[in-house]
Amino acid sequence: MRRVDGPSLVTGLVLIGLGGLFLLDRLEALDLRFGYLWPALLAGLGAILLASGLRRERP
Amino acid sequence: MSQHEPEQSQPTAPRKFLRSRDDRVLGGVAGGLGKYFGVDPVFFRIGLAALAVLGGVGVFLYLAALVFVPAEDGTGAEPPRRSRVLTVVAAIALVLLGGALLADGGWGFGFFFGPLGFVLVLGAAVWWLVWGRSGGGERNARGTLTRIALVLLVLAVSAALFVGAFWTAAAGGGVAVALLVIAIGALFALAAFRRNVRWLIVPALAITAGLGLVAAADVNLDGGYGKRVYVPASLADVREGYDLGAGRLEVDLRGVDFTPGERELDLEVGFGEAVLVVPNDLCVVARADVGAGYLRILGWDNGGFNVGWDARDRGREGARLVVDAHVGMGALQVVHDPRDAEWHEDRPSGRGRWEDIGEDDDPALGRSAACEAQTG
Repeated sequence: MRRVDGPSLVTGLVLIGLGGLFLLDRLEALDLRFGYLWPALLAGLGAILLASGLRRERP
Repeated sequence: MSQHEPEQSQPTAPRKFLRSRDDRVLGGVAGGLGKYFGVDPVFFRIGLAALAVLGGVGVFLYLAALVFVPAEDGTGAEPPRRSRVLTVVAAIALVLLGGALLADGGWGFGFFFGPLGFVLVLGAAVWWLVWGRSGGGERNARGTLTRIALVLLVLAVSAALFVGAFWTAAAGGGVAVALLVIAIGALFALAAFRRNVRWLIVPALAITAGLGLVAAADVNLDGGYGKRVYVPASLADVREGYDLGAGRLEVDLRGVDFTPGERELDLEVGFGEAVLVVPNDLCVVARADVGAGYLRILGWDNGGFNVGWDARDRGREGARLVVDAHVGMGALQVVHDPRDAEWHEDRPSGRGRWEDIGEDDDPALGRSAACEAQTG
């Protein structure tokens, strides 16, 4: 069995989170603004980049 | 090819900042920094990427490091000196680039360097995500060209997906696109256990970003496309609201004789420009917001993301127009004279702008002078 690919897994989780956030906005359950969007996107990108970088540490 | 003995194993060898040969995505700058400081280079990559996107300084610093920091040759030997002429020419070019960046406050300068830098950063991200770890392998010119072509293809597809997601969400399909993003996320999470799908990360994020832009700016494309000009001649001709999906909407109320009492007017443009021209002697109370762009309300203006003004109702007698206006992305202007809403091309950098007017602490913000006369 192949080892799990960290960046792909984290990307999946980030997309599910962001998609859920945008779904709530479109359903008018919350009012998303740029002030919240940029940090959310940067945090997601950071998580993906970290996952890409950390994988290298494994033997 | 070096005549020197390997020195890496010697503990007394001085620590030097060299561009890494083995741990490189582009030029090995972050890899070299990581080795020099003894931390994971990913932190420097994130920092440089963030600085590149936020103002372009990261690209400037990276180019400077490429020019001035020598690359290690794998033996630990002292790297050969660069040509002095090349160094001087590159230094002058970097000074010019840095000056342009400083003069214009970031990526705004020209319409070339901004998008170019953005494409370079995104391309580097794709490259790193897909081949970052196998970067130490043998490379030849043909392989590199193939990879560059693949990266450009991924970027082109991503751009198309971004635009497609934006328009679909703005045209009312936001819920569907959001569900699609969640489904793609679930597929990614599942695929991660079976195969490497990293080359799909940027296209997936492009769809997400297109949807995110619509969600944050509240872009609504209902109401059609194009240029609409309304010049009602009487109060009976004034609609309750004017909608436009994308384009320019102009409503000129100067010919309307408003009777005493309150009248409400809704104005909405999804993507583009809305201009409302109101008579001088009418009390206008504006509540307005722009998701991303420029907002000018009767002697006050602002620009950026989610800019808005919610004027306090001050008029007591006489005719009053309460404007409720929203532009998703673009410009919203409420003026007395349509010439005030024109684009000015007088900035030294060549980029146009609207007139900069008004003070934020003006107590009459968002209301026309006629309202003050009513309260007085």
